[in-house]
Amino acid sequence: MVTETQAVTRSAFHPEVESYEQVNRDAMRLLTRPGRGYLALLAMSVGLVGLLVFAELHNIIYGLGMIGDNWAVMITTFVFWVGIGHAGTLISAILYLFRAPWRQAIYRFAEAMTVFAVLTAALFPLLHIGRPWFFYWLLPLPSQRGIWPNFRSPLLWDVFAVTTYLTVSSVFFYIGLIPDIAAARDTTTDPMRKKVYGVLSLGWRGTDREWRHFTRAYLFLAALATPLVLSVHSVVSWDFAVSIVPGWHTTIFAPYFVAGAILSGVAMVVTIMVPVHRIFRLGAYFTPVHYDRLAKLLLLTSLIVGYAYGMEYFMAYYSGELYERDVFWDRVTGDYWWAGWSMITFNAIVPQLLWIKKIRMNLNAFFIISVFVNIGMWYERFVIIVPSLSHSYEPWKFWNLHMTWVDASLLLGSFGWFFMWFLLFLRYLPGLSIAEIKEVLPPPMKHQGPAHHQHDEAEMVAETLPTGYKEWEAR
Amino acid sequence: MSDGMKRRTFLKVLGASGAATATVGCSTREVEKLIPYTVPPEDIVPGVPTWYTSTCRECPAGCGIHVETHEGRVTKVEGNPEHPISHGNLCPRGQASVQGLYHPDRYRGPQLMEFGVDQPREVSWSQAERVVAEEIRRAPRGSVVFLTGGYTGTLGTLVDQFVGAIGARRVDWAPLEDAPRDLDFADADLLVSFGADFLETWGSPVDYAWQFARMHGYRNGRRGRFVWVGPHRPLTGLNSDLWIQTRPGTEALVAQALAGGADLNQVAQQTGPAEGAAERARALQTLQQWWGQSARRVAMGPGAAVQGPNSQALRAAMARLNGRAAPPPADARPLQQLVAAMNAGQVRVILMDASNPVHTVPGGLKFAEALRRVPVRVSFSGIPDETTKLATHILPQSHFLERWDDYVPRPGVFELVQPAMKPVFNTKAVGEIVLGIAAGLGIAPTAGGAPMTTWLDYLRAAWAGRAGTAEAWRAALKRGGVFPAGAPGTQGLGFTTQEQAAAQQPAGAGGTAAVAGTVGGAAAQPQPAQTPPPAAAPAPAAGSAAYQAPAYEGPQDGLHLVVYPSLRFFDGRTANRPWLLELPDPIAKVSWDSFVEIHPATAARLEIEQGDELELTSGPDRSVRARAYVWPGVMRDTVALQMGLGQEGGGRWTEGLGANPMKLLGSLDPATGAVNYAGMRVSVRKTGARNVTRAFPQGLVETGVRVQHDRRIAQAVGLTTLARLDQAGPGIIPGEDQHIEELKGAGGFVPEKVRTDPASSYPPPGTEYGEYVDGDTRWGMVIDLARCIGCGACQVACSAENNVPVVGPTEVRKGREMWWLRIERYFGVSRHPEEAMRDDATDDVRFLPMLCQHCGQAPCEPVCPVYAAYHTPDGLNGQVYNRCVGTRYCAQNCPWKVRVFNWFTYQFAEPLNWQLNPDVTVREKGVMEKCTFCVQRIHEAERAAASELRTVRDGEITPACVQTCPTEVFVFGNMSDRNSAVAQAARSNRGYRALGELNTHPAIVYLKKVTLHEPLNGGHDAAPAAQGGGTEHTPQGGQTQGGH
Repeated sequence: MVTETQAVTRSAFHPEVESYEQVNRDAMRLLTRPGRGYLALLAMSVGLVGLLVFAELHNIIYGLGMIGDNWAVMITTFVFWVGIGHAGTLISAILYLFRAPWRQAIYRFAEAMTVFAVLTAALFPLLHIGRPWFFYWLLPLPSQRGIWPNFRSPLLWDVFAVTTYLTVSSVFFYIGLIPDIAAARDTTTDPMRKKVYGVLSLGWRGTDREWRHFTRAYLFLAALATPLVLSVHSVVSWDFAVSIVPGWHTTIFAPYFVAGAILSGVAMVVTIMVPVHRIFRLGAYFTPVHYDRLAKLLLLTSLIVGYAYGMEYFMAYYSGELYERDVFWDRVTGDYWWAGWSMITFNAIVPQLLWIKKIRMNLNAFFIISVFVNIGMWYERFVIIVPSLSHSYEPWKFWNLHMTWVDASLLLGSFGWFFMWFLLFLRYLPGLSIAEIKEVLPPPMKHQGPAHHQHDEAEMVAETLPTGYKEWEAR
Repeated sequence: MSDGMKRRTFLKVLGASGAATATVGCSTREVEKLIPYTVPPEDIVPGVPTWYTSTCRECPAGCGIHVETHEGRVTKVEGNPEHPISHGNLCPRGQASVQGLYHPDRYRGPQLMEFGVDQPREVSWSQAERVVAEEIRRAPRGSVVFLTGGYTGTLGTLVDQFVGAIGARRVDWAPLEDAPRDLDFADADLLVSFGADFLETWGSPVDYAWQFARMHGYRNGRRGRFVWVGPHRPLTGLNSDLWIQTRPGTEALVAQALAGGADLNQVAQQTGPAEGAAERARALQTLQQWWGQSARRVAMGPGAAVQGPNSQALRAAMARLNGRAAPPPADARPLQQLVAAMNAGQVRVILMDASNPVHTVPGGLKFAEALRRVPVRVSFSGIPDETTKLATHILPQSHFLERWDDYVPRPGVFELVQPAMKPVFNTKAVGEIVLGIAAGLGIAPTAGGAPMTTWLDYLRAAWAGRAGTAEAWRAALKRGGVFPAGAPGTQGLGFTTQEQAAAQQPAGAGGTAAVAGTVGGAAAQPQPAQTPPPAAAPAPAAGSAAYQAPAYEGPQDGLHLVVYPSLRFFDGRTANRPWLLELPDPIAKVSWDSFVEIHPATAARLEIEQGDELELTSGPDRSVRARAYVWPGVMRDTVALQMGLGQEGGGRWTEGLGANPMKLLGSLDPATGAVNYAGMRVSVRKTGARNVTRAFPQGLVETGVRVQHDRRIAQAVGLTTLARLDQAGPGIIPGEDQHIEELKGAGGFVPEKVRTDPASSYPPPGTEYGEYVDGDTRWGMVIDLARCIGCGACQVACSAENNVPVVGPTEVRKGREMWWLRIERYFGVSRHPEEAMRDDATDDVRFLPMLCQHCGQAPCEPVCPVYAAYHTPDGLNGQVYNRCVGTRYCAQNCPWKVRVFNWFTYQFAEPLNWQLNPDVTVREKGVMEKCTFCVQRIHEAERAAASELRTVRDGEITPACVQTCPTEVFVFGNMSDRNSAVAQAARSNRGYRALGELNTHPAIVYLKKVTLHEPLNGGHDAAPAAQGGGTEHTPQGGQTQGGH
């Protein structure tokens, strides 16, 4: 029987996955079994979205004054979500181009997270402007007004960066999904779903020709998406770097923001992966290899970010600029010292624990660290935005943040919005990439190979077993 | 975080009250009919303002004004340039007078309270006058009292006639109207003010501020000196070069020491607590030295802040210093007698036209309690206040912008008040009301020998001697009255020359000196300050003029209390104007609240922190609560509290705001009968309500910080340094020219600027944002910090001109004030907030008007995604409201933080919206706005010039701030024209651009404040960058209070 064959040949990354069928089965299982917990989470998310709508209606009806101060919470949250969006494309596109075999199991989640994070981020430029009903004035639409947007404004670059990123990552996401949607179409018994999946799968039949075109298209899109990982957050950073606000006007911002984005994205991937892993019992797919690699990525970006922090302070000192020095000194000693220190601690210090293999391999510990990094990265944007604005050139106008329930609602609501999409995604689209996971599984053989062949396979497994795997097994 | 009250509070403060809209009277309906003029009024052209000349009656100064009306509605008030008092300028109160006109709280018409009914009944004027006349007829003879304010004109004559005819009594209540309004000190070398806050309320503030700027501003290498004597430093004191600290009641010692030569150390011991006696002695020495050095010197005062024990001795000593008698204080004893009479039931009818006596009479006199015993209480107040709350008959008077009146602020100046529009509500002038009541009584007051039935006829008849013919009357109306042309000042100089003082010495040696005597009765009539020959000065009772150990009322272990009138609210009469409520107090920069000034050391002793709520108690049932304002501008054993707030009359904005210090005051000064503003001690107790930051809805609304954090926003230069620089040459215009000059100085390559050939000019065309071509207009401004006194008139004028909304206390706490222009007040260039608490911190206070800098290379412009912020060819930073979507990036990127955002659609409660300038767009929520240099005025002038086929002349355009500034701080014009006044003014050794190092090419050149000593840290040469980020400190010293 086939099972026998598969019992012997196992993937180095997914030793517990026994067969192609199992992959199909597990992927489809996600689509069909919403538990009560899932529904509760979804209800909560939708509730938070309701809160967001409620809060925003206040902004629209009464005026933007319902929020606390200026750019504080909304822009912080915007940059936070744009940053989150970066890990997905990194994992799905860049690692694809580098042929990193550990991306297959997690990239779909990461990519979905990217799309939804960008979708969340895209809310805020709309919500934070004073007259959101005129948001389309930021778009270069030919109209009788005869006025083009100002192409020198970083905010306009932002509009282009975010919409480009949203478009490309959505297309990339969708193209990758096509074979899996077809699989879902073939598996599902629900006639409604069958119809929808049928349309979405674009009549995919899995022919050779289709696969050839698919892989080409995927490769090109990956190549197209790759520079976006660097460009989008660079552009977002220029929102700040192009200004003359002390603490913003630095050349380090683009690389610093990209590294920070990847740090926060990876952290968010872990924050999402661990519960999904636990709830849907995906241990066979999310293996120590993945966590280990993610941990190392997190550690690397954390080091880069830590270096950037240090560099910022050094440059502030070294430049001798009064305003620059004051702002940076204010970040760690002023009214927002708590935010400044949260940022440094959570982003640059806490992740250093991942040097220790035990912690890296401990799912709970890693999860907690990732949550800390998420908080820290929110604070990073907060620290960049709020203290700089509250302590810029004109002492008479030094001010402090005033957070209102509307700010809090918009922040919480953004999480609701994100998780709503993510939960719906889990329920309606294959979260595991069926096709790509199969790529790293040994193909099912019609006949069992000779004994030495088995031996070779076992050796191969032993050689490529990633770090920590044995410890994992031992537990 | 989420509190349900916020929206409600917001609506309460900002919102247009629906009720107000609904209840606006018949005049509104009349105006709202959209019927075009079939026969157009002669002097109204739609879209073109009509100007009327009149007189401001917000305070006793009586500034001549021009009133701008659009289609029959008053929109703005400006000074009358021909006028000897206003000099074309106006103070914040005058600018805000239009909000008094359109105040939504105003009475819509006469009201009567009937026995047993809670709600007043609205009646017609004839009915109201008949009822009052009937009450007077029924009253026993002698039981009718007319309580009046400071009448100086025809109304006084009429009231006297009326009172005489009905056998009533007239009592004056005008305690703050006793100061001379005719001093001329513009050429003085030394000014010593004994508590006279002449830049705020004392005498004639607009005129005195104008003279002060002449005397104290920098010109031709010199400037006069100004010394402030008093227990705390109000705005006038903050503008002084030297503060002689005196505990209330001991100022006389300083004046005596100056006149006589007492032991200064002993005086220093006596005038304050043991701490700081040495500093006080040094300061006294300096004062004495300056007094001796100065040829033209004058002692001004005494003002309310020193009106306490020994004020008679102070007056006597000042008379010796000046060689002329100090004016007597307003005598409040008649009012005291009136209270006694009311308590005794001897008053049946009281007619009240004084400024809210229930609020302004010292608590110790218990006026309100006595008033309740009068059966018929008639108030002529046009707006609800504490007095009308107790009134049985409310006969609301018209605002001065809608009535006929006249006023004589000082001898020789006769002013006319003419209505600039029909009354907004169903109101009448007091003269009209009095004539109406008189008619009801069958009396016809006569003027010029003939009985008069209307107030205008009466007035014209009274003016027959001055402007009898129709042409003369028209001319007087056009001019604003009858007064000598041109020159400021009046019959006498306010200062004595050294020769006069020398002649004075022997006469003064006796110890008791000239004083005009204790005049009772008609004290509220302004006393023309005469210059009696010293020998002829009447000798008063010796005891009253000699210095005695001061005796204070109140708890003997308490702190001294100083109650002083407010620049914004005067005695409270202007407290309900939203602009003035929102205008940060120039002293404390606190808006929408009262504040108790308390010294840092005392605060530390009592464990009081900034903004803690304090309860001041002067006796049983006499206590008020207000927030602490901790600062070194008040003596250690003294607290100071401003008049004005603590209104309980039901004003929609004032109710529940602040505290009324008059409640704390006790009895009158026995020697003069004046109100003892500084003779009380109070116990100070923390209530436990703590101050919180701006993030919370309670607490002291202090806007801005006090120190510059080493930034050189407001710069100063020492007089000697400046004189040295001025010897070398007139200086250059800071900015682009400066770079060229620096390059030249360094011997480097200098592309010569050739005016005729733009191709070779520097910087090359196209390299500068805006791409100015030489010869193009570049609007610019020069702001002279040596002249700015920090009053805030420009702020209010700007709001009036540009429809800038008021946001209310909650929003101010969040830093969302909408001012397009603000006055920043810094204590030197210090770095740490604690430095603002040092005893000498208030010695170098810099006021800096901050508005849009209209940068040539503006940071706000390129970041706007929709081109709402753009650059006009004439160098303005335009802001297109319609195009703005409200990303607020421009505001983030503005280093001066002068852009303000409409967080809400701010409301102008009906009928305040009548004041809106039709030439300026009213902005909605979500739109950024900022100073435009009054672009509507620029364009108006340009259109006018174009229609005459010429270019705009220099000086033709005056933005609202420039127009109103009492000290003429601003110069506006075309910077490209190097012969314009603005370019001439900018070419100065004092010139600098605020944050000029950011290379944004601001269009505003500031001229440094000129200090007598080299300013600490950050003076002319010090550059913050060179100081290594400002962590180091220039060693203190070199600037003590004394020494020269």
